[in-house]
This record gives sequence, structure tokens and C-alpha cells, in this order.
Amino acid sequence: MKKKVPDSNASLTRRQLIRTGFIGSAILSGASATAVLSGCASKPEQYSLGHGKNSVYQFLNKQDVALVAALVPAIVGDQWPEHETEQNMALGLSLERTDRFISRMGSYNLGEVRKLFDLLNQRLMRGLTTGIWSPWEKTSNEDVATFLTDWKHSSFSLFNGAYNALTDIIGFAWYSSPANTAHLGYGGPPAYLIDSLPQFKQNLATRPEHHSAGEA
Amino acid sequence: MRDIIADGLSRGWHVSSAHTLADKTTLEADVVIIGTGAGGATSAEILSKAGLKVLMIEEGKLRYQKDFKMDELEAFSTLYQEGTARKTADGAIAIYQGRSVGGSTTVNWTSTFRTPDNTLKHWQNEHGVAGCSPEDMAPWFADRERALNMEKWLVPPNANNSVLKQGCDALGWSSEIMIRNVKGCWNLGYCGFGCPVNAKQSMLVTSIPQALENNAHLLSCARVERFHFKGDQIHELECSALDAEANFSSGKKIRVRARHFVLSAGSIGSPAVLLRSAAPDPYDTLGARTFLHPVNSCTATMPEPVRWFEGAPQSVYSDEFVWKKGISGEAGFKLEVAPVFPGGLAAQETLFGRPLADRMANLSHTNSMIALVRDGFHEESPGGRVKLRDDLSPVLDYPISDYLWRGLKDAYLRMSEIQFAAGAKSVTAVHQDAKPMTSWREAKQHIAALPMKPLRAAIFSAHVMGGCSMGENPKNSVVNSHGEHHQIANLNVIDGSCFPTSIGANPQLSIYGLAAKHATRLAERLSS
Repeated sequence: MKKKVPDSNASLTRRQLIRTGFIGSAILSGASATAVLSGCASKPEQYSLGHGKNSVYQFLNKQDVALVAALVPAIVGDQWPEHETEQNMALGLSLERTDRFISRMGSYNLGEVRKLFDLLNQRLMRGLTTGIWSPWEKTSNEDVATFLTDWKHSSFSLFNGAYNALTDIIGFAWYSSPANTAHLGYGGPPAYLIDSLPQFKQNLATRPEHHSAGEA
Repeated sequence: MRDIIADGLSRGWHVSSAHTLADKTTLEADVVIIGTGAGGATSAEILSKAGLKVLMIEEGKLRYQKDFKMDELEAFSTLYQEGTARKTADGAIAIYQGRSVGGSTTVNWTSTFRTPDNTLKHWQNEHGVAGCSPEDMAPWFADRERALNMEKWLVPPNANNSVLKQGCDALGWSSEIMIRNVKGCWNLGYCGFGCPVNAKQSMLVTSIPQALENNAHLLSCARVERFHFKGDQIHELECSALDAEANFSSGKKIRVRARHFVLSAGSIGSPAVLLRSAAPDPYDTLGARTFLHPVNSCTATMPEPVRWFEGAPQSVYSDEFVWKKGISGEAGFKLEVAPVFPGGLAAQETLFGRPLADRMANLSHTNSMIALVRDGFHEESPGGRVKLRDDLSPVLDYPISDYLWRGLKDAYLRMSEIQFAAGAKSVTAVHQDAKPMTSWREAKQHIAALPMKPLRAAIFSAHVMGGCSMGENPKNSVVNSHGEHHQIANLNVIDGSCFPTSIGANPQLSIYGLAAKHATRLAERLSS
């Protein structure tokens, strides 16, 4: 049976909805079920990077890696490779690109994505909001797809916004890589440009910027 | 190939990045300009030419040819506000604004239009704007058209743009060839990623270099936090130095003093600076009436390859529906095409699994048509409002009214009609509940039934306008018709935030023209 999201949006005011921005909402604004469903704002904080502790990434932590690894195959569908070696390469590329994309969204959005990812990584909250109680490593593509579909069609706009954010981030990170789209007809800028433009020649590309620093 | 920025830097242009300055550095100038987009850079060129000592402050980093490698992820994450994650408050409209030196002009698609006469007359008649009639503005547009090499595009349109022309021709609707601001354009198609060959006559390679040649100082990676006032004057400007990549605050502060300040931070940034400063706002007009040209889209699968990634991204437009129902009637829209690169297409679809894979499988044959809805001309289109979040970052609260939803639905219909008339095999509205349609007859029924709701219809905007409206009456405006703040004596606002409505066309020349007019007056005032 699919886990349904509690439908308590009747009491959700526009003011509460306004707080949310990128993700679309409250999932974002609290770490407990009560906070999530009542739209309580968390304390403002200036989010910055370096939170990816014990991880090679700037933003993603170890738990996020398992989450992204579960989301990518479900979101890219038929584009996900069949063989394990290729899957490992594709996942490595997706993790690096997802991390780079999120890392540059600015402090506010980083905080929002952090709240969403933390919610999805915490067993009780994940179970209550997605119906998935197993760890991400042991969750099937079908179960991920079911949860995404639930969020997409939820009567709770908070979950619609979070669904949009997940498909946007993962979809963009995947399809913005020419390595993933060459077989679809776009393999990146043509070779003659890369051969002829100065920004692709290493000595110029790495030349440090001149800054007359410190002067007024 | 000579790069005008690398060349100028090697000759000692006065350019600094705030991360290299000591904490509590104080800078001084005659005029400080906040923002280096269309409004700020044009002002910098004109004010520095008049002999004034100009300091340009930019939140973004100086990125130029060496950084422009036609890579979608790099471009989106470094050249756009919030790394393209900027959205309206309810998440329903994605907002694409530039965030490096040159602002949105660094990433725009070069489409050039004078402000329509209808818009200028409406401002005069309905919003109390003086001195901005079509006749008043014509010489300023002509001046900027010369300065930025704005000319009709003579190369044949690419296949993506040809769909719009062919469809309109078949239906007997008007379409025209665009004017573009390019010089020596290679017709590559990467305008939105930063021009890789410096052909686009953006602020980055025109007005900013000219200001720097006139001894202006450019300070990048510096976020303007707030003005401090003494009486009716700005006494000091407080900035935060960001890190070298302009992503996060470094904790260091910079103070700036000047005789006069020009706020050119765009229609979200300019109201935000004034809101953070608790600037006088006696009639509650600050941040209100902010407009977006809300855009929706239909993608079509064409029988032949479209290869949208090759050639000028926009070279054809149709104004058939912009004014058809009257200036203040039902919402009109301008029709154009968009060069949807794969990442952007996937992101706007917000699909997953099989439906996303199916959509992307048609990539090489995809035509993407867009409609830009003219907002702000009707009482049911009051625009949005710029607000501050708890962390003092700005957000635009822009509820989409039923009036706008009607216009957007009409736009879905007209776009698909054009695409079928141009021979599309199938058309899909970019909407979560939309299904591929194989005929115009089917499209009429399916689109009529689509729920027009936030987060289900994909809506975006690359044109943020208003928020510091101009007009002669302080009760319904923030600045007067010269861009001078009604209550703050040494502040001009010179950017698209002055517009009392949206433009009804891609706004870059509207900003350049008005900025040239306002900055020229300011230069005279400060030099006398």
C-alpha cells in the first residue's frame, strides 16, 4: 500500500507558503513531523559549504550519496546503463555534477536542499512522508518511482515543490553532461571550436587573473 | 584572438575582487554604481566619460572569455543568480537573471527591441511618467543602437526559429526577423552561456571596458548590504566581501562613501538593497509592481532534425498576439523560440522515468516555442512584490492571477497551432499533466482541459522588471521620471526596476535607452 501524505494543508496559510522558494516548502522548514506539517520556520542560518563531512564532495554527505544513488536511476529511467561498470561510472559522474550544481545555488537554497535531503535521510521522516522505510541502498527503483509519483500528485503543494526540486536537480545534472546526450544528438560544442578558441588552450585557460588588489 | 578584458587587465585597469581586500577597507568615489548589468554599466560609461570618478560594485565575479567554454552546467551554475535555482516565493516561476560582471547582458540571447510605443504611451497616460514619450526616447534608443551595433540579423534563421516563421506564414500571422547586438558573430548558438568569441556586444565588452578606460574602478565579489542615512542623504554604503567565486560571504566588510549613488542591481536586487536599508517608503511602493513577462512553452517533435544548438538562438519573433486584445485588455503575449539545451529541457519538464526518457529521446528533433506574457497593463495584473526572507536575501512573491492563467492558456493554444501549421508530428505543452498531441484538433481539446495551476504548468522568466517604479506622483512610485529617488537626495535608480509595467518585448534596449537618458542628466547635474 502506498503511504499517503497527511492532508492537513487546509490550515496552511499563504504566509507559510511564502517562506519556501526553491524546494517549494515546509519539508524544508523543520526537522520534525510537527514542524514539517505546520510549516514552522527554522531559525535563519547562513548556510555554507564544508558540511559534506567524511565525503569527497562539497555539499553531499555520505547519506546523501546513497539518496542520490537511489534517485538517479529512477529519474533517468531508460538512460541508466545496464552493466555494473557503466553504472558505477554514471553514478560517479552524477554525484560530482549534482554536488557542483547544488554547491553554487547560494546560501539560502543550500539550506533548503539540506533540509530536504536530511528529511529523506532520516528513517522516521522518510517513512512518514514517502512510505519508504528501508535504507536507500535497499530500496527498489519501483519504490522510488512510487514515492516520486505520490509527491508529484500530492494535494500538498509542499511535496509538489519538493518533487520538482528533485527532478530538476537530478535531471539537470544528468542531461547537462554531453557524455549523457551524445547518443541523443547533442555531444557538446563542435571539435573545431575547442581546437580553435583560446579558452581551451591550457596556458591561456590557467593564466591567473590580474587584480590590482587592495587599492581604492 | 584578442580578448578585450584580458588585454585591459594586463594594461592595468583598476579592477579588484573584494576577497583580496582587507577587512573594513573604506573606498571613495564621486559616484558609486551598484550593479554592472544593462543599467549600471551604461551609467558607468556615461558618468566616467563626464570626468566623474566612478566606482562600480558588482556582487558577481568577473568572468570573461577564458571562462566561457560552452558548458551548460558551468554556465548555469556560475553565470545565473542562485545558480538557476532562483524561483518566485511559491516556487511556481523559475527566474533566470545574470550574476557575473555584465549582469544579464553577459548571458542574454541578444534579442533587441525598442520599448513599444504602446508601452511608453501607457506609462505617460496611466502612471504619470513624464518625458519618456516615443519621441523623447527615440534619440536615446538610436544612440544605444549605434553604440552596441544593434542591427537586423541577416543570416537565415536556424531550424528552431524557422518553425515559428513557417507556422505564422501558414496561418497568415505576422512574424519578423530580430535585431541583435553582435559584431563578428560566429552564429554558434551559445549566447546564454557567455559569448565564447566576444561577438555579443554585452556590457562586458562595451560599456564596462569604456568606463575602465575612463579610469573607473570595478570592484567584483562585493555584496551590497545596506545604505546608512544621514538626513535625506546616503552617508555610507555597507558591503560584504564574498569569496573568490562569489558564492558565500567571507565575513569581511567594506565601506564606501560617495557624493552620489546609483542603484542598478536589477528588479529583485535594487528593491532588496533599499528594503535592507529600511529606506523611506512612505506610500508602501517599494518592491511592489514587479513584473516577469511570465513565459510558458510548448515543445514540438518536427519531422526533420532541428539542431537548435546551432545558430543564433533567437532570430524570429511574432507580435501577432501582443496587443490584439487592446493595451489594457486580456493578456497579450510575444512569441519566440528558445534554444533548450538538454539539461535545461530536462529541468523544465520535471518528469522522471519513462516519460522523461521519451521526451529526451526526441531531443534532436525538438522545437521549443515560448510565449512571453505582457504583465502589468491590467488591474488583474498588479505584478509581484520583492520581499526579504529571514536571512535578508530577497524573494519575489508573484501570485499568478486568473487573468494571467487565461493568457498563458491562450498562449499554449496559439503555440501549438503554429507548431502544427509548421508540420510538427506532435506537440506537448510543458506542463506536468500534458500529453503529447498529434493534431491541432486534439490540441484544442487537451489544452482546454489542462489545469492552470502553480507547480503544474512550467512557468519561467528571464525578464524581471519594476519594483522601483518611476512616476511623478510619489504616492504610486519610488523614483521620479528621471530615476531620482523621491525621498533620498543623492540616489538614482537606473535599471529595469524603474519600469512601471513590463515592456512587452525583451527589455535590454529599453534599459539601455532609459539608462543613457537618466545617466546623461545625472552627469550634467553632478558636473555643474
